[in-house]
Amino acid sequence: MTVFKRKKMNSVVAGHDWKSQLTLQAFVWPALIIVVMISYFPMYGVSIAFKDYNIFKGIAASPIASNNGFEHFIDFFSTESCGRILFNTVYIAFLKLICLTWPPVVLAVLLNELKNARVMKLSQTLSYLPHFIGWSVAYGIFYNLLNPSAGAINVLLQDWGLISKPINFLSEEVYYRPMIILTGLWKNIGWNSIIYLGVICSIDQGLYEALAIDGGNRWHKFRYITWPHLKPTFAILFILECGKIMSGGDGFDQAYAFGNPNNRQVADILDTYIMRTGFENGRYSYSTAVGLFKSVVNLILLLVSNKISKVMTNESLF
Amino acid sequence: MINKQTAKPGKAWDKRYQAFDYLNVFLMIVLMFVIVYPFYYAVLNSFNADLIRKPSFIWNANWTLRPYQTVFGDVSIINGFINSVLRTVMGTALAVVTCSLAAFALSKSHLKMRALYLTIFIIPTFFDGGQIPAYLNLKSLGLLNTFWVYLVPKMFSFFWMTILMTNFRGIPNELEEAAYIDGASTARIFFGIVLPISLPALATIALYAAVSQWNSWYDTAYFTNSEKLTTLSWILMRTIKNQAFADMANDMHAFDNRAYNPEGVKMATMVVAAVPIIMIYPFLQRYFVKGLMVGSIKG
Repeated sequence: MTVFKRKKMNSVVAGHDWKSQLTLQAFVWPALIIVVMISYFPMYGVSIAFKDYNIFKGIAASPIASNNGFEHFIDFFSTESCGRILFNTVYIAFLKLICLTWPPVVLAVLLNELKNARVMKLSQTLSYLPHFIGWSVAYGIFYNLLNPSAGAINVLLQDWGLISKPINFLSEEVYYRPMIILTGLWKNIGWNSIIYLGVICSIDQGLYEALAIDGGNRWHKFRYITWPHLKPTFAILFILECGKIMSGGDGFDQAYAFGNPNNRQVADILDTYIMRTGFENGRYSYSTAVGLFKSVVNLILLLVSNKISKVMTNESLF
Repeated sequence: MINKQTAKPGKAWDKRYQAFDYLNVFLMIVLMFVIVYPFYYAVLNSFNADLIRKPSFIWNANWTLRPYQTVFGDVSIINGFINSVLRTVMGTALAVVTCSLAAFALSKSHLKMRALYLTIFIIPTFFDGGQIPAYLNLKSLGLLNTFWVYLVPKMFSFFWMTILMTNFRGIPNELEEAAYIDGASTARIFFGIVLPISLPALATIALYAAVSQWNSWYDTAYFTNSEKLTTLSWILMRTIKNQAFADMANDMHAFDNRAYNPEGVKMATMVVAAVPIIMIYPFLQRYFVKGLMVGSIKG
């Protein structure tokens, strides 16, 4: 009943006349124009993936590519680097899913367990620091620590006699993936814990008190109250991450900064390959085709993981 | 604010320090050291006069300002710094305005065609055209090699708009209705009442936009080719990419130039690139954590 009443009231309520409606419509326009211009116009440009794009002819007049327009896709799948790049992309993305999704949850819980408010606030603030800098600065910082000639870690390890020759962490292939994961952790653990801390703050304290009365310990507190509250957020963020698998877990900037000719065998991912073939080699149609393949697979992965999550945990984006 | 609230469960649980609490504090200290030390090391050694011989770990024996004099004497870096500041300030302002206007309209369920607008806004978050089509589009819009290429593409983000929308929905209707009955127009209500009480959410968006603008190097690299438009983050990215090649050359030819101290200059450039954006946080922090909480909990 009250619901109906409210609705009826709303329809004659203040601010529902045509003038106000027009203002509201006008409020949407700037964003609408930007989105159409920046996000929708390029969707037409995607058609060059099926054409042999010619700068002078333009998108519409460029001829359809051979093999019914699928030439560039066939081309990509038959290059010898294709398998390696797909493997690198998916591998690093899976490593990120396994290694980087849960530490922010742990940090949020541990931060929340700190009893001294000042210590907690300081820890929080300091843990956000690396988020503000870009990957170029981050690379510079790690370069100082890891480089073979005067890097802090190499100097220390040599001083302590643990190694006789400096290790080139930045260009040896074996160190690439651990380095990406650890620096990724360093950069985002604090920032990504904010959202979980927010959820923990919103939990009803009565629940913890009830558990304490029932004799629950700290583990029970996490297991039966905190985690069930965090799970929906965790699931949503995990699904979103699954939609980034073909982008190497959103890793373009990082891969670009840490990648060099020495570690390219393991560092090259779809995004860096797309940029290289597109901008550096000028193969517009080919690069667009690879990009389209990436976007479509990402979308499918997002939808599939959303579905799986819905069935398994009852949590989903839509 | 947040720390008071979150400190509570621990206190309600048990006031005594147990082994776990000591372990927890210890873990935090280790974590904070790992997070902060790389920054400290970079700043310290950017002032280190003996950097070429030996990096400092705790404190410098001899201090120098030379690297900073080189950095601030470099026309290209100064120019990049100015461009970075300009694009950050303007880009943030534009993004906050565009997103908050749209978010306010979309937070009203009586907005006509609301579902259509939301659909239009959400689709690009799931599917994007890719880099080359985006490039060709910017080219045909005439934005390449103009300052606008930094601003226009970052004026709207669905994620930012959602945070604002959630915030606007949380404002009691009575507040706006009272103003309307007093004869205020919708625009006046928005600018006069809604925006001032939404500062936390606006600060959150501003922080996101500012960080994204300041650190963006990609657009400078691929969408501009004039030194006039260069940005600090691109100068840095370019330097480290060249460094990779210089290192290879080092390995191959044992080439070592000791007359000049490029490491120190690079560190100083890094510090100059990192400090301004880090300085923003303490100013916005007061609002920020609160704003994000509201967005995350209700969203």
